[in-house]
Amino acid sequence: MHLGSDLTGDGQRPVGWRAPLLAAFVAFHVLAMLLLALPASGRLGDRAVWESRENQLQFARWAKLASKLGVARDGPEFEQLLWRLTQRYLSVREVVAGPFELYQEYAGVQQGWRMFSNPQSHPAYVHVELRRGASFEPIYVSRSRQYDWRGAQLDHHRVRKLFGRIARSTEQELWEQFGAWAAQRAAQDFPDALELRIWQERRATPAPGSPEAADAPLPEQVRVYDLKALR
Amino acid sequence: MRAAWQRWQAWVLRRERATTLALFRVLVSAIVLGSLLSAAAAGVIDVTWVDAAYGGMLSLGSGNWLVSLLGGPAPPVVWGLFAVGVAGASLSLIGLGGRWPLFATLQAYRGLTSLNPTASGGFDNLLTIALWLLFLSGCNATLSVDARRKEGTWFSQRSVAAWPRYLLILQLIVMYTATGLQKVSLSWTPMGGYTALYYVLHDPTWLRSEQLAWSVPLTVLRVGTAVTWHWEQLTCLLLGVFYFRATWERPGRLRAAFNRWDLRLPWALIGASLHLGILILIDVGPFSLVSLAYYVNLFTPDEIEAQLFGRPSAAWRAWRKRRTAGSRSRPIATS
Repeated sequence: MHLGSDLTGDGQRPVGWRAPLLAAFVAFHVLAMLLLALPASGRLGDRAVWESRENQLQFARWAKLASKLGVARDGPEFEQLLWRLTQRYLSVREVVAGPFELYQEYAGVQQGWRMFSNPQSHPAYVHVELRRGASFEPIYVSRSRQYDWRGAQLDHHRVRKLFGRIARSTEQELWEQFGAWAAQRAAQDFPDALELRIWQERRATPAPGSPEAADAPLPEQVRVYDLKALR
Repeated sequence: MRAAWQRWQAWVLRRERATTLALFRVLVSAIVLGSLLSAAAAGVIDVTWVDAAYGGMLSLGSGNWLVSLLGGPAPPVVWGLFAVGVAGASLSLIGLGGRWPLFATLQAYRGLTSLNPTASGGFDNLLTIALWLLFLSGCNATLSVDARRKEGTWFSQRSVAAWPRYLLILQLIVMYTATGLQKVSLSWTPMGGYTALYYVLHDPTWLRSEQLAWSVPLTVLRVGTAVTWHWEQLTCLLLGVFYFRATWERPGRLRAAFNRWDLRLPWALIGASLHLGILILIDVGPFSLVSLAYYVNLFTPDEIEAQLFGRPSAAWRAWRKRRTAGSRSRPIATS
């Protein structure tokens, strides 16, 4: 008996066929946990994601390092090498982890652990603006205390994740759907407003230790909605 | 092979008091409750989990098997799952109704979070995994209304299977190791100057406050990045820590080195410090709270009770006895 193991004498252990069945189930769960933890985001096989600005920057940086080891000469070559390896890996992963997908679905044992894997050097701030007269005025800006229209919703961590996904990837559809939703809400909240405009301010983070960013902020993904048509 | 299978079976059949699992049940239930209620208070239930056809933000499809069975992400279905989740988590918090409130909470919470992957995070996975293993465990045996009703006491001495706690420890190790290995940006590495946290704190997706985040010195961020990355990847060594603790009586220099100090504590201290930094500087939902809740599983019921009730644990008493008898071993409680 191990010291401090807290084994007590009044417990009821599984007997007969139940003991090996339980042992088999625990082994199954351990295997499921390990195999399902292997990275398998749908984005790994999405070419558009690989071609995003942030990922292209990463390939260029890693290629510079890899070229010293004679692995790849530049970013595109490094990316191609990585793409081929990743697609082969995904096909193997699909085979080994596939049998556990049903268990994952019904028992809720999802194992996606990609967190902050690639911090953005060019994040985007979301701007939402209204036009009542001649010009547009901001009503919401990411992290602004002054412009916080529906801040409780738009600043909630679950909605922020959406904005982060939009900023990192090429999922235009999400941005369009957000715009349509925001226009409908603005039409209700501001009966006198004429148009809603949403856009992303792409800001380059200054290099560590530098006072200013190398690139000036850029407006992207500008969309304008007619609020009169929604009333 | 047969001997290995029998050793595996013997390990799975180990039993212990339910104190650790019960405490974990209380923490997880409270976090699920907090997550659901705070989302409702912020008005994001309809935004994130109701389909655009009914006023939600996104087109969500039919949802997982449960949501699909109930009719898709329409308001009555979503709010019904919300109500089941809140009710189930409330019952699980106080330990009333056995294991089934945990299962109901799991399915409701999973149904909701599966609707919109863009609004879900790693903490949702940690919660559903916890609910599943708690459902399979005897976590209601103590610190529960059920224990009070059946045995007349809130703290039962009844033993339960230990394997769910062991799997929760393994899950923690897998989570940290996997996330560490997937941090592939150059900024996490020495070649990138350990600048990853600097860039995270300039991303509006995560910041609580720009002023607060940008006031942290760059040196602190570099150290934080290095500690985070290396600590996560080295978390797999915890497997060795627990193995050598469980087999402390066998010889070996490596075993003796691992058992010289309780290495769970410095590991947990570093983890807690990192999560405290996360809680202060960035908003990633209840991720830090859930992760820290998992830490209770690192400790045996004996050790938890010693902390709760202030009495020496059985392991400490055994060490004292060996010291008195002239032994040079250190106090170790097996996991």
